[in-house]
Amino acid sequence: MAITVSGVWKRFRLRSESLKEVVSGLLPRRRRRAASRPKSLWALSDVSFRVEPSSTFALVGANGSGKSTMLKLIADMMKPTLGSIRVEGRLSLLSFLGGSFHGDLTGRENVFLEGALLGLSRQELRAKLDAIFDFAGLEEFIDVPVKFYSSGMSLRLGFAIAAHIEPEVLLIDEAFAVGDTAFRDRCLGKMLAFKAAGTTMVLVSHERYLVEQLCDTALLLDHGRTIALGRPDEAFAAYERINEAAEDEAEDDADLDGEPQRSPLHIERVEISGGDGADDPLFHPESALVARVHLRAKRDVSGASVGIQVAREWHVLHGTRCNRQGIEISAKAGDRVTIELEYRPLALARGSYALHVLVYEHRLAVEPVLAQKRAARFRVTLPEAEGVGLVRLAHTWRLVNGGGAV
Amino acid sequence: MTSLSRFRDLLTQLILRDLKSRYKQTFFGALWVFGRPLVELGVYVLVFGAFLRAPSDGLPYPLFAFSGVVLWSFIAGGISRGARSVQAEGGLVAHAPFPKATLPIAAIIGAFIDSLLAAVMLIGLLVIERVAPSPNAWLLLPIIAILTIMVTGLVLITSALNVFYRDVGHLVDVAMRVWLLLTPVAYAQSVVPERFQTFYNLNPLVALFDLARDALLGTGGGALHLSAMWYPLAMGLVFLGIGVLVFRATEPYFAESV
Repeated sequence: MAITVSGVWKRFRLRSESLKEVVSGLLPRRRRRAASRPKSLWALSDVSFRVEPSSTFALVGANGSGKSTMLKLIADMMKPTLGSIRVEGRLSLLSFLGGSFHGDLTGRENVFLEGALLGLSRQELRAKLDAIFDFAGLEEFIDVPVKFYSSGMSLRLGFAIAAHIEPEVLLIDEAFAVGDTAFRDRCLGKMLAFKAAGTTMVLVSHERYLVEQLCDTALLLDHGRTIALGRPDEAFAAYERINEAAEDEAEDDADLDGEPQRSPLHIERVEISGGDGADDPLFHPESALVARVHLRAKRDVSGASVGIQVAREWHVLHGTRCNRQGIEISAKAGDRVTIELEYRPLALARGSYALHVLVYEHRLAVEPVLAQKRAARFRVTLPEAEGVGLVRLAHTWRLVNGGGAV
Repeated sequence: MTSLSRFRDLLTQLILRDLKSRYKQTFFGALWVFGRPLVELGVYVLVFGAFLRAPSDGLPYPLFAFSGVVLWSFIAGGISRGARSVQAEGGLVAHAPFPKATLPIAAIIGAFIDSLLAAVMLIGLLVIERVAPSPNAWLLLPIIAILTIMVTGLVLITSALNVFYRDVGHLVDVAMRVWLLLTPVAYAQSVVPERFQTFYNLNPLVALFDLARDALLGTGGGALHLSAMWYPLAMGLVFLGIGVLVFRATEPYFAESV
């Protein structure tokens, strides 16, 4: 039940042509004007990969990188402009769950069309109807029109139907990994069950944690081109490098938040010590990191506070401010102030991180008056097989008794 | 599950959803199926029957008009619903892999079911007017088959093109109005002056409507012109052939164009 994608290119027309444009295209003057706008876009350029039977494959990349297009090509909803795609086995695509629901019809009535779209026969659906509503936790709402469902309930019903398919090849679009924590746990559990059952899966996702846990191989796309193809952590490392490069281009003012002119303190420099290398230093999770912030008072200031946040992509993993440990900044206009924060041990998992530096006018201020995002960067390396997850909690394994004999 | 049974399952569910949803939230519910043709009939009886005194091949005018309205409701309902059927389900077309031909076909079958209900009323009218159906009434079956072929061809063409050019939907609305007036629905063909007859007969529905009334009500006085079926059948097959070609050629681009 493998998928083979060989040398696939896909071009989209950007202008949706109305008959008016077709007609006006025949007139010479109009034609020149129309030609100046871009007509098409290569959504995928020469992408090749193979998904082995019973393996799980991830497509990662920024919005517009061509992931969903790739998924639709595999599902045979579109034809590649060049190249070929071969899929063995019965295929289902999970995307836009509950997309066929009609508000005036009851949950029970809606299940049948949605199920038929996912490839379930009427007999199968009839037999599984109770199990589906049980799984969705919507037994009491089975005969209620779907328009009275909350969006979460619709989503749960859609997923419950999808959970009862028995595909050989399963394509999953990211849009479906929404909902509350309990629902996501259920989704993840079901995906693991599909994986255990030997289903070949292709997953589009931004969620590093999910992909690393679930997938054997990942393909990183950027503007339709293959950037990396290999282990999920390698693909994500490449993804982070692309993001940093893009951020560096958009650097400077873009990363300055708050009201910089009103801030009593100016952030002159932020340096990180304790790692290897000057720019973008490399740390081991056991080692210590010291962040030093050099500030200059723009006016007389008393009782101000400085905060530091450790961020990975858009998640803030930890944030703290100096007044919490009794340090407040008071200075005369023009004075220089240096403040230091030490993390010992660093205790982060492998990846690329950034430090945000924040200035608060006084210790009770809720919002920072100045925030310099990504003021400094560092990376963390980790020996192989250290574990998974976002952080590296300090831990020790002990064998208490038994099991030691060989 | 084979692709054919998947197609059939999907088609059944689409038709059921349309039927169930259409009348669910309306006050008069299923009565609308009967109401619409009755209102149309009332207007025809008033305008063509009473004001214009249109000839009706020797039949009571209401019976003449209603037999036309029932047939026409299938053609008009099928084509106007069918033409927009793919684009109207844009969300599904863009996000779910399934055979797209189920959408126009479901629309045609939906229109057929509506017309079947109207046909029940036609039988009621026959009883009221004390007109016995002619023994040739079985000929309605091939006539309806030809109509279905024609409608399916036109719907495949228009529903596919409407995905790329929204103008097609509007064009269909206008064309259906013109077609209605150029078809002997509310008046008999005999009102058309001699010099326009050749042009008028280019419309394949003229022969079919004549033949249908003749088969059901014996308007032709026993001499059925069965050979008149060839022209509409040929036209229908041409439409169907073009429709299948157009739909199959454009279907792979639906998902990126809706």
